[in-house]
Amino acid sequence: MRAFNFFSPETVEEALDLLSQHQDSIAVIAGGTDLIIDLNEGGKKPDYVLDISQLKELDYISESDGMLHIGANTTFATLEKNELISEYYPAIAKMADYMGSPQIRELGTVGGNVVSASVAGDSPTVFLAYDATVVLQSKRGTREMSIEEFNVNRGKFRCQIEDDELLIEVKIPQANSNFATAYRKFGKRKSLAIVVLATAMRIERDRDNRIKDARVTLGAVSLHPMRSPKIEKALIGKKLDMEELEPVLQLYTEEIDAAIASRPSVVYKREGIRGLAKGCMMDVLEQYGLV
Amino acid sequence: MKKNVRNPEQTTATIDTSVRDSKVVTQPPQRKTVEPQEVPAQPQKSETLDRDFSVLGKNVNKKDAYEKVIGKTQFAGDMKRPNMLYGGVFRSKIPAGFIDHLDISKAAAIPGVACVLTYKDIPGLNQTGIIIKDEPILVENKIRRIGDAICLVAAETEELVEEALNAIEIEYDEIEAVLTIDRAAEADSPKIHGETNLHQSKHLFCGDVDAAFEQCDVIVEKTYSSGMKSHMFIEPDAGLAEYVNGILTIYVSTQNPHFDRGEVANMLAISHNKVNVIQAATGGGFGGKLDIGVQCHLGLLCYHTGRPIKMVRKREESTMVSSKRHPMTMHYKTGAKKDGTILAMKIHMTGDTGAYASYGPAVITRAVVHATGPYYVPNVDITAEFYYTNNPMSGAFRGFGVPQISIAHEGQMNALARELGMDPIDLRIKNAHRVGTILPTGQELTESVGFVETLEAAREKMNELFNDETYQPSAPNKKRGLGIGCMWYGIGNTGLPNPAGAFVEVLGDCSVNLLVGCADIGQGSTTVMAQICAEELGLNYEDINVTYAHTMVTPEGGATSASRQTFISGKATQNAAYMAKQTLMEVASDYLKVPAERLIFRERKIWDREDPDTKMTYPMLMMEMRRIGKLALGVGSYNPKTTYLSPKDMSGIPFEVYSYATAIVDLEVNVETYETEVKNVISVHDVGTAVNPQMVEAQIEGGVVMGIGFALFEDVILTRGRIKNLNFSDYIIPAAMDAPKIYPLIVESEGEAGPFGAKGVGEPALIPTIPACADAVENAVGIHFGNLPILYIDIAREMNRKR
Repeated sequence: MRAFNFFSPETVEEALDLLSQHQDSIAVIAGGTDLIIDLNEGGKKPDYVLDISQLKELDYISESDGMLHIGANTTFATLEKNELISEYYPAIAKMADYMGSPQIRELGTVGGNVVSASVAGDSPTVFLAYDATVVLQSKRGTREMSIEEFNVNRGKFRCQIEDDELLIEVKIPQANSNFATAYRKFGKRKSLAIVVLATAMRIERDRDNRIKDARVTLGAVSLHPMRSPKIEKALIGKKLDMEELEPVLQLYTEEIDAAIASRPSVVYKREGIRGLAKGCMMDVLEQYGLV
Repeated sequence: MKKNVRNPEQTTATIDTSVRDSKVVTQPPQRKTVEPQEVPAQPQKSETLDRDFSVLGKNVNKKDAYEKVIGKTQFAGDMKRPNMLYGGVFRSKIPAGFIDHLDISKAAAIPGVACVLTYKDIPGLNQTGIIIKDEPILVENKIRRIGDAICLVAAETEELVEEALNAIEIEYDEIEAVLTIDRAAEADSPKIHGETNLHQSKHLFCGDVDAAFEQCDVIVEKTYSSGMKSHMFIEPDAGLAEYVNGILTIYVSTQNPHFDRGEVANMLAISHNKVNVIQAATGGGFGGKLDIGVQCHLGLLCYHTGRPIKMVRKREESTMVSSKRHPMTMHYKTGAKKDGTILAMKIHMTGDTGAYASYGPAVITRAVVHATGPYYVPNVDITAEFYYTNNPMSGAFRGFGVPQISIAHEGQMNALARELGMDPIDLRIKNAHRVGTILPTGQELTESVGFVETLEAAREKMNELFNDETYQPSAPNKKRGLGIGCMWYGIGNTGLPNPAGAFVEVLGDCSVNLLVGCADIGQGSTTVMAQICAEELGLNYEDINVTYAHTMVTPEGGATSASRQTFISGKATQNAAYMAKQTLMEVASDYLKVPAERLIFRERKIWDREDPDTKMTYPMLMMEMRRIGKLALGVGSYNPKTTYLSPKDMSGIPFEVYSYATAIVDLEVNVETYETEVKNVISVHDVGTAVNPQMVEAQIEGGVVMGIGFALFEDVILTRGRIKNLNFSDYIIPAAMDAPKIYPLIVESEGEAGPFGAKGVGEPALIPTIPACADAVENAVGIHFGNLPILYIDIAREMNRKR
């Protein structure tokens, strides 16, 4: 590991000053579960490292203005233990539970996972299903964008963050009793496993227990998690009942075939995705009390 | 469970020392005519006695446990010395070729770099290897694999080492890399060593297979294969070298300290007693720390700089260059009568030994000798060829080829059972090794054959845990299956001498210094030796202090491999203790006026077996020893009673004793996500005498989890000779959440060989779970997988092909 200067500010304002000042060669560290590997392997050689783990003001989970706000410094362990999350945002709870190992969950933060935007990361697939918005801040000001827009590579980043910007929070529309959400992941072992394949969904039902709106995302089948308008369209209007939903599973296979037809992993992914998607559907039905 | 025990006092008092010194029989025995063996109506049981040990068979605390639990154990990577340098290795980035141009001048000129060394700086032999010395310590010209060592760097800091390594300039003349054994076998392929890429070939035969197949009612013929595996020991290779009073002293994470000593001394052209290899606490090895790792490089850098130096491999470097499990392909043809009696096996196997021999010759020999499985087969024809390639070096990995061939011999048994409609356990019992069985090598099994007992114990436990009503999948999208696998495993090196020694001194206060060469890599040999020594001397476990794997003071211990240390170093320890005890017996006999053979030594007391009131305490005995000026010293060694194997047909006595095991695996396959979950494993092991049952169980538990990894998770991914998954994040071994409920069971078969009848369990622990997993998957989803590991992607592919 190359020597670097290390900053550990206690306020966002200070952090943004430092980012702005050293933006040519600075790396941001929160839990360090991604960055330390890059530093050790020489993938990143910054002159400065900015530790944001002391920014207590970015460690929060709250509901206001019809949105759920998750501060960038919230660890996965915090998410996992949060009652609001486990009660009303089951897909986020599941994602936190699948993520890494207890040690990694204690260190890894939501902000870090979102900015790393790894193909095999857990949170992007889930946040995309939740229609999340990211809040970015710099000395120049604050901006917001949908996670879909955010998850587009820009230079050295796998997302749209600028060199002097800090991710402040992720926010998603507040849950209500008509929403049900689910996330299923396949990793190569039960813990400490990156995503081989994942899918998430957010369903909104109408009074007749039919699907009014659907957001379906697929993880680890392209550079970034993708939505499937085809599956969403097929789901809308369907009765919330397994027999009616099951034919849609075939569309998942078609989507995988279209996305990664020539990859060796397609052999598994085109088949396994139906199992994961069916698991999501079962979770949704269970949340609605329909099984 | 077979309970058998001899009276330890009787043993020690009646066996003459000269009998205890084993001899290698150099002439193979005459091959006997082999006929189908008759199955005894009842399992053989000889007269059994209650066990009556005072220290053996007890779950004493491991000698190293406390320091490890409180985190005080010093591993080589933790060591520091004043004025210490750090070392690093410059390695080849191509799999095959020649060094065209090498320039170390820029690296050597960096301030803080103490030296940059090449092969020219080696004063002695630039060759290493446990069996065949075909690996250069530093490459002179020819590169045979990615990661070949070319230069060494010593510098003041680890960062400077990195900087110097990056400043070394090299140009290669790259040639075609031989990456498959098919290519290796072709006449026009580049030759990795010498004139041929054929590393070794073997032929074991007895009887007449062709004639026997004619008489068979059923013939099963299948091909099996097993991929390359990485040990993934938790602690990467590490060591520290320094001169202590003029002796080059190397503290190193190793399984093989006495071998290391010779390799370092030969490289430096100095006598072996000028090198002292001391095993540092070792965080696992599994065979991957038997070859030379950092030892020679440390020795050479220390020799040239005269300063203490430390090397700790990074995980990537460790995985890249330490040995790997041989990938093997095995073609089996098995013939049986309608009643299940096996008459013949014809087997052909091939293996990729990689760039260097390492333990390849041991793997091919052991695989061939064990290829039939633990079954009597009168007509056998086994051929094997291992080839050199430019792939990573294959070598020793827990089981020396037996885990691989167990996939095949057990796959065949299960296929045969299906074909015959027979219960797989009944089929095995029918053909099982027993006392009196003649092996294809001509060896007759004379004692300690507990295979049938493992099968029966496994069946009993299975029936207790599962019945037809309760045995159901846990969800509608899952399928559940039970599978069985068995194994046999010869203890010690195959058909070769492999002695170990021990020194004992009983001190005036009744404490004991025991010195053994045996490296304890976490498996617990130090504890086992102390238990054996205490039992033999009649002292307590706590009385024994063990110094181990320290070549200037401990005798040769051989390698901690081949499941041999409890059996061989254990017997050497018992012999050394017995020699010391002989002096004690003479003195006690004179003092108590009782013939020596009537004395019982136990729990720090000595008494007359015929008159227990005639007695003395150990402190009294040691006082008497001092009064008359005697020392209680013992030297012991043991070399298992084996013979060299005939080069013609491999007849002979490859091993003195064999361990046996049976495992039953219960697993579920999710037929929608193709995830496999092992739920329960019963693993029953015949270990002779369990010196420390808790440690035997721990070995079994670790072996079960590693076996699950072998069968269902682990696979080295190679691209042009380069390992793609060098880390724990992408070389997937099972973690805690993947471990099933494990039922470790111990069978104690009867035998005179070994210390108090103990055999070995280190490698056997791993093996039977592997074929049992494959069988369980087949029973769950109805698809036969002959190629292991069976990954989610394989199950997805095959299940959807079937539809």
